[in-house]
Amino acid sequence: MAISDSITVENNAISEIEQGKREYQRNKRPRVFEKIDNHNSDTLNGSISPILRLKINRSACNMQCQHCCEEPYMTRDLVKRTGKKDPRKQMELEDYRKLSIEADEYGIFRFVITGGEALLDRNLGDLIEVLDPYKHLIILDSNGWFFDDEKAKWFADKGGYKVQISLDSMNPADHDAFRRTPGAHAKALRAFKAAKKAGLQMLLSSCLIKDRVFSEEFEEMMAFCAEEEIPLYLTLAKPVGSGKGHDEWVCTKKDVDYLKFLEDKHQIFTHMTPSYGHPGKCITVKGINTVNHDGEIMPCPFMDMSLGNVTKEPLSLILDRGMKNKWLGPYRDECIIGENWEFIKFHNDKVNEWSQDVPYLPVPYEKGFALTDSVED
Amino acid sequence: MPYFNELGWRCPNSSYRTYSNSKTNYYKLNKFVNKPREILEKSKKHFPSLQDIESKVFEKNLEELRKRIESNEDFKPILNSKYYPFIIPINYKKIDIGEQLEKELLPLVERSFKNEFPDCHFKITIQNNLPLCKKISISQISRYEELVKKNNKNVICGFYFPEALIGYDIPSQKEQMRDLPQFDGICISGALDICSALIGNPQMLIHKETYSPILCLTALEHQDKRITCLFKSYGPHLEFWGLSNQLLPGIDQVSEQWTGGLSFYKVMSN
Ligand code: SF4
Repeated sequence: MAISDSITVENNAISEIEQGKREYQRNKRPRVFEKIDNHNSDTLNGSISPILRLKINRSACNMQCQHCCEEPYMTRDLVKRTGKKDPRKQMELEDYRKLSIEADEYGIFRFVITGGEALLDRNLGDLIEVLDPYKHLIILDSNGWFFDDEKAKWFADKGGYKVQISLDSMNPADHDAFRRTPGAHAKALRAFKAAKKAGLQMLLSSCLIKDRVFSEEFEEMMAFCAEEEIPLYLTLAKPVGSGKGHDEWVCTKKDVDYLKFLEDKHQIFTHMTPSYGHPGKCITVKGINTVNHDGEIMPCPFMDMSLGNVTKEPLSLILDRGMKNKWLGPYRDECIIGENWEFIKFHNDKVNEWSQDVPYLPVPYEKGFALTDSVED
Repeated sequence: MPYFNELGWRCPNSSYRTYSNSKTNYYKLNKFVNKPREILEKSKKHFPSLQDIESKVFEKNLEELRKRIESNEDFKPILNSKYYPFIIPINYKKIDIGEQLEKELLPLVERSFKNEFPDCHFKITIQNNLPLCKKISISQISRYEELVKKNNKNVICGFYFPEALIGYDIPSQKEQMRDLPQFDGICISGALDICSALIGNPQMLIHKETYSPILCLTALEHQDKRITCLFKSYGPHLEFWGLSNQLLPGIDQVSEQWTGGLSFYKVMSN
């Protein structure tokens, strides 16, 4: 194979902005493209440009999915456990405006807005505005329940870029049961149609539990996505959050390897799939960081431990600190929260220790990651 | 202080930067190492000039080399780690090392890998998007130049020890030839030896239950010092990367998974 045939950094970065719409998007969001270009040229220096995933509205949700790792952050769960909602100061619009500016300076160009169900938040429009959809790609996670034609048009008019709609099975009864919400499957299918009509980019986000990748139902889902031209994004169930104690859900390397095999044949991917000219690897800090309602930054969507609070410290300092952490920064192929039992034990022990005294997650930096080594030690 | 511990890992000292003070066991090479006879068969398929070499001659040469390592107290413990015999045909052409890697060695590694795993991919990605021709030189302190020189006139056989320097950052891997004792026929591993070892053992990095180390071709230096050439698996697939060796701007990558190898070799004799 000649090197010219192989993946290049540019090709991958550009695939984020779908090929056909490239010029349109370049004119519409020149700052986004400037940052993508800078990231491509800085990548050899070790620069990163992670997605910031914003959990909003105290993770309020209209569904109660069996595999959800958000439940311990939700008001409904906290009220059950403590009798009251999270008393910590929540991020406000001005905090998000400041975060958007800091992110822009850092070279970050993607925000994912998530919940719970983000569309339940009445202030979502204002949030999109302060984040600045012309400086950042604004991507919305949704279970599809409220995402009808009108909502899709509203999101597109606000400058939204992409919607990621969850569908956990092609079998309506299974999906609805998994989400404990009758009718959820039909609403998700409606949401894809609405997103297409509004001209939004979209993907189908689906949770993979052990052995599902080998099932007929999964084949059906790949066929559906191919026919509808929807990229299929897969998240792997982890032994944390609601998955704790459900080892039968956790994917093995056999599942993951088969998925990597299928990636060559179908338009399917996980967040570990090689892209942007980067190899498939664990992307803690470098790939996706979650910003909790109170500003705590977690280096992976499945971790309940913080690297620092963005309302109290600069974003760049928090990310650099994360990159220097021995578990999080250095290169590793495996998913540490799903496959590395030494890390899983450390994580779950620290979460349990913290939760004995305090009912609110995540574990603050000083009580968790600060206790591990840094590459500078 | 011994040079290698009982696992065959180079003992670190304060002048080296390593991921940890002990050898990691998380990343594992495939359990099987092919027998010399099989390695020679596979190598002959891809290097036709080796056709006349008999298996017993190859085995005799390997055994001589192994005994020499075993009788050297400094290096003896390295035999406790996994090692891969290899054979390199005479390299008459003396072409540029980057060109040789790109046009000859990598396509052969690909062929050998695809022979064994026809449904899997072998992919090459260089992060600066440029071909390797005229971009690669040999690290002055790697002693790899001597292997290349000998190989210009001779068939070379040897052993590749992939995990000798696992967890060492790239600069500390390179330093080893300054610090380790002399041995006739030793170098930091590079292209000829690692590619030949992979041709003989295409399953080396494929592991069903866990992840495998990432093999750095540390004896090679890219013109862009931020790039390191390496082999890695991606699930059932094999990949070659020219990858950034920077963790953060100005800070070298130091990973539990990245490894530098040592190669011991000799000129094949009858
Ligand atoms: S720990 Fe796993 S889920 Fe988290 S970033 Fe790494 S690969 Fe992704």
